[in-house]
Order: sequence, then structure tokens, then C-alpha cells
Amino acid sequence: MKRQAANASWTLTNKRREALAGYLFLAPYLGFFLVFLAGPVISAFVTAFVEWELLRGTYRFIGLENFQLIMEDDLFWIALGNSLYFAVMTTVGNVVVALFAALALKSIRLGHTVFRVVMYAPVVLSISVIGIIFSRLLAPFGLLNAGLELFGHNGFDYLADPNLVLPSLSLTTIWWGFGFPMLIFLAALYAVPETLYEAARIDGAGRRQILWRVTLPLIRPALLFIIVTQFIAHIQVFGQPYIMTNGGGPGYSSYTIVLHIYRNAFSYYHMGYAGAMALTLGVVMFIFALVQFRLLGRYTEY
Amino acid sequence: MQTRKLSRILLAVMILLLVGALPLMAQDEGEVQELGTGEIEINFWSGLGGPDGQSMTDLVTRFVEENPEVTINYQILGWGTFFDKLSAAIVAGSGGPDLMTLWHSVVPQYALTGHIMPVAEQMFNLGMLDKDDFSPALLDSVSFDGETYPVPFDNYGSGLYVNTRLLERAGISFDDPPENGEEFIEYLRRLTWDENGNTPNDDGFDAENIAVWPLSIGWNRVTVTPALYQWGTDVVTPAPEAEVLIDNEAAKAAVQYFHDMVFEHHALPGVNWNGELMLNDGIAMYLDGAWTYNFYNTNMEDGQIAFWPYPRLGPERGSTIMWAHTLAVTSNIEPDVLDATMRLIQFLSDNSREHSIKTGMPSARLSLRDAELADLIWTFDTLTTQMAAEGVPEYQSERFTEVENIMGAAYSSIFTGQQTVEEGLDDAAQRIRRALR
Repeated sequence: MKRQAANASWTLTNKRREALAGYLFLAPYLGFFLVFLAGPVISAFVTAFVEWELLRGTYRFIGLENFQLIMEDDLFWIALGNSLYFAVMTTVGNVVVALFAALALKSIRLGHTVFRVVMYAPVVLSISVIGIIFSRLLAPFGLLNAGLELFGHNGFDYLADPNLVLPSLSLTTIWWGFGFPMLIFLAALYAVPETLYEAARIDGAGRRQILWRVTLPLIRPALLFIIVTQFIAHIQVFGQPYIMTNGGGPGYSSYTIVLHIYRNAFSYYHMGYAGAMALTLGVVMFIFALVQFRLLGRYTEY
Repeated sequence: MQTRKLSRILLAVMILLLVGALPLMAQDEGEVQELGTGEIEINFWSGLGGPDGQSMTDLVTRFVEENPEVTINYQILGWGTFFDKLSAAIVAGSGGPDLMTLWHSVVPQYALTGHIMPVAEQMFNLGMLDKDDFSPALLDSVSFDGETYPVPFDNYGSGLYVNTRLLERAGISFDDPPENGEEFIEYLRRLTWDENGNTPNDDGFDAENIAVWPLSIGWNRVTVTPALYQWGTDVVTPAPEAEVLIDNEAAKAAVQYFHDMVFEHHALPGVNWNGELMLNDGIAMYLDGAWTYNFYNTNMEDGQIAFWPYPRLGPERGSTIMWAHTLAVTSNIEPDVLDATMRLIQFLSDNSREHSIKTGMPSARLSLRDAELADLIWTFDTLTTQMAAEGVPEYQSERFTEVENIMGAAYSSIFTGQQTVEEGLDDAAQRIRRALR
């Protein structure tokens, strides 16, 4: 009896030891998570309900007043509209370009690795570099207009034309970032069993039918993942307008919501107001992600 | 096998391209230069880059050579991010500068909130600098509650860089600058040529294919603000009152003048233009600040470029805008560091004539603007004469950064045709009032 009790106690201790080891392994991540993610999120949440003017040194609880200010702030709504337009345009563009690039890569044998590297390479560049390169490329006397001049066209002022600026930033972003979704699509395409394609071909399906009836339904989980993550990433666009359009110009044509939050927080020091806008943006992103899951998730076969 | 070889070559090319892009990444931030080996450490943040920055670096280096007990941790930051970083550091209470360069226009942001000290006042009282050696208007613009905060280092304005070859082609004498708004428009018409060499005054002028534009502007802040003065108004009244003026009729008339230049006279090719076009005779005149002197001085031959005062456009008065880079000291500076910092400020101020010669930026010290400089710097005489006679310090505000961003966007909206002058300025005024609440 005594031996049994001793064994049980030993087993318990051993389990505890195992648990302790587990927690120890988790500790570094948990530490970082608490300090750099959970802490700032909670802090930002609290900040949304205070008037916090850094340079003036004021800090007081004001309830929902910051949210009332958001309703009156026309720039918030202009910036949110621009961000949504940019996010939709860039997400769609990225998905289409990445999907076709992945399909093309899967179908070729010669130079497969080379093209994969070349197409992915822009992703590793920083936005500062991309911004500077494309600012020069898209300048009135830049390379793109020089090319158009060969065909007798005067070209465009891509970054100074209110109607062209966001599409230009979007194209820049697509070129910069389509490599990542392309790799995800490529992995998903390789996961589709070859036998299904053979069966489809035996049944007389053409290329387009195979794409629409076999490939796309089977890579839908990857599609959903890419759409949701790309949308969340692109609605938070910041570096492109910050570098390429002098912080949102011409006028407010490329002024985005994260720029507005950044300026209020770190240029004007309205920390409380910026916190409230960040929280509002978080809610908007959550709603959009939910809608995307609802719309695309129901047709997804896992 | 061939594919593998090709992929290796391409990989090498990609790596070279990425490595080649590294200098672009490195342009983002300046690193801290530790100058000297003395025990007293001064952290100095400067926003002066390019030739101005080089000149300032030379002066700072000389100071530590002459003052071996001092080490200066000297950091050059681009103006684009300077104030964001500065404010964050000041508020954090550590890691920030002891000494910093500030535009005089942003001084209220830091002086009225107690983040910088009235170091100029202290130096005047100690006899380290002579108050009477500075423009009273300039000192007044950095004084609050009777105390002068930072020490003005330089004092500059804007004017009109003119391409003398194109003036000659248009039959305009350099000795005959425009005297009013109508004459300026007429000059613009004479200095515009299409691909066929016709001007807007000729039959068959092709406005869609302009080969030589008459005018370009560097920065709306530089270009339009002096015109506001000429129509008898401004963006806001000086801090701390800060009454918003930009939606009054006079302001709308001033901005309308520039709007008409773009859309009616097709004289100004909108925003984002480039003064570099002057080098290839692509533009005849460039309205910009004193800082552009160095670029043209380096890249154009003697006699091809000259400088006119900011033209008289409005009905009320002539004017140019006046700015200054000032040297400000943080409030929480240690006493022994303050002593060394004041000596550094005195040194920089005493040697600002040398800075003028290298950069074209006149010293804020009136006694250091001697006649000899007019022979060395071709913008100097015109610039300082107009500043002395008609110079108006740019508006200041406790919310300067916010107001300036609002105005920048408003001008941009108006000059790209997104909004009428009325709409753009009314919106801007509403946003500024909200910011100043």
C-alpha cells in the first residue's frame, strides 16, 4: 500500500516536472507575447478612453469622447475610405497575379527554380527601397513615361494625379508583395492530387474547366487564407504613401488610416485620440475578416 | 545542368541587386558621430542635411578641437522624421538631445509646454551674445512671456531663381524684375515656349506640348505664404492667440492668384515639379528658398543663373517669408552640460558667417552680413535687402506641425484641381480650428 502511494506521488511529481519543463519552454514566447503584444493591446485599449496629450502632459479619463471626435473628423473617414479602396484593389490584384504566377510556375519545367527566386525576390526588399525606386520610376520624367514617350505618349503624373495615385501605389505593392501569396498558392497547387487532373482530362475537361472545377475548389482554403491576410495587411498600408506621396498627397488622395493614426500619435501627440482610432480600425478589420470567412468559408472543402 | 547554372547566375545577380539597394536603406537614418574625447558630453541633434549639414559638422568638429574637455554626440536626422523623434525623446525624458536645431515656427510647440529653456535670454544676460545683433522681428518670433528661447542661427527667405539664357531669349532684362502681379503674369507668358517655339502670345501656341515652362515652385509653403502677406493676411495669427485667417477673402484672393497660374495661364505645371529642369532650360524661373542657392551654384555656370526678390504680386505690400534655424536647449539639461552647450552655441553663432559662405544661408547675426558676402554669394544682397525691408517671419503655432500638414494638403488639393480655392481653404480653416481647440 505504502509502495503504491509512493509510486503515485512519484508519478505526480514527474508530471509536474514535465509541466514545469513545458512552461519553461513556453516562457520566452509568453514573455515576449505579454510585453510586446498583450501589454500594448491592453494599453491601447485603455488609451482609447483617455485624453492623453504627450507634449502638454495631460492624461485624464474622458469616456467615449474620443469616439465622438472620430465621428466629427472628416479626415478619419477620408483616410478609411482610401485604405479600404487600396486594400480591396491590392488584395484582388495580388491574388490574381500570384495565382497566375503560381499556375505558370507549376506548368513549366525549365527554369522553375530561377523564376521562383526572381518572383519572390522583391518581397525581401524593405518598403523604403521599394518606395524610392518606384518614386523615381513613376516620376513625370521617370522610366515609365520615358517608355511611353517612345510610343508618342506624353505619359502621366502617376503620383500627383488624384485619380492615379492609389492605383499606382497598389501596383507598386503588388509587384513588391505577390511573391508570398504565390508561394502559398504553389504549395496548395502541389497538394492537389495529380489523379484528379487525370480523371478530369479523361472525362474530357478542358484547361479552363479544370481550373474552375478542379483546381480552384481544391485550393480554396489557401485562397481564403491569402484573401484574409492580404486584406488585413493592405488596409494598414503606411510606408508607400509615407515615402512615395509625401504622406498622403496630392491633397488627401492617398492619405490612409494608419497614416492618420501615426500622425495623430507621433507627430501631433494626441495619443488618446490615436488609440481610439486604432481600436476602431481593429473593429473594422475584424468585421471585414468575419465577412470574408462567412462568404468564402462556407464553400471551402478542408 | 544549364538550368542550375542559370539559376546560380540569376541568384548572384539578385544578391548583387539587393546589396546594391542597401545604400538606399542606409539613407534612412543618420548615425551618431562621437566627436571629441572630453568628459563633458553634449548630445546634439541637427536637422541640417546636405551642404548645410556638412558646414555644421565642420563647425562642430572645430569646436571640439578647440575645447578638448567636450565630447559631442552629433546626430543628423532628416527633417521628415526629426520632430517625431525629437518629441518622443523629449517626452520620454531620456535619450534625447541637450541641444537641437528647430525651425523658429515650431518653437511654441516646445517652449509653451516647457520642454525647452530660454537659453537665448540667459546668454544675452551673461553677455555671451548681443541681443541687438539679431533682427527684432525674428527674436520676437521666438520669445514668449518676455523671454527669448532658442538662439537664431541663420535667417533666410525665399525668392526667384531665374535662368538668364531664357530671360535673354524672351527679351527680358535682368535689371527689370516684375513690379506687380499683372506684369509677372505677362513675364510668365513671354517665358513659355511650346515644342514649335511659340509663346502663349503667338498664334498657334500648343498648350498641350510645352517645351519650356515659365515657372516652377519648390514648396507651396515657400511660394504661397509670402503672397498671403502681400494680400494683407496669413494662415493664423502668431501663437499663443492663433486666430485662423486662412479662410478670409484676402487669403482666398492670394491663393486664387496661384490657382489661376495653373489652370488659367497654364504657367505653373501643378505640384511635384522639379527645379532640376532649370539645368536643361526646361524652366525659366524657380520660386524657392535660399537653400537652393547651393544646388544651382554647383550645377550651373556663372552668369546662367541669377536671383530676383520674391515678386510683388498682391495689392497691400511687398514681402518675402523669413525663416530661421534656431539652436534650442532642452529644459532638463545638467548644469555643467549647459555651460558647455552655451559655449558651443556661442561658437556656432560667432562662426555663422563661414556657414553663410558655404551654404548661401545668411547668418542671423546682423553684424556678420557684411558687404563682402554679396560678392561671394550671388543671392545674398537681394535676399538680405528684401528680408530687411519686407521680411515677415512665418506664422508660428503651438500646433505648427498639424497646421502645416493641413495647409500642405489644402494647397495640394487646390493646385491639382480636386477642390476650388473656396472649398480647399474653408476645409483647411475648419480643420485648423479643430486642431487648435
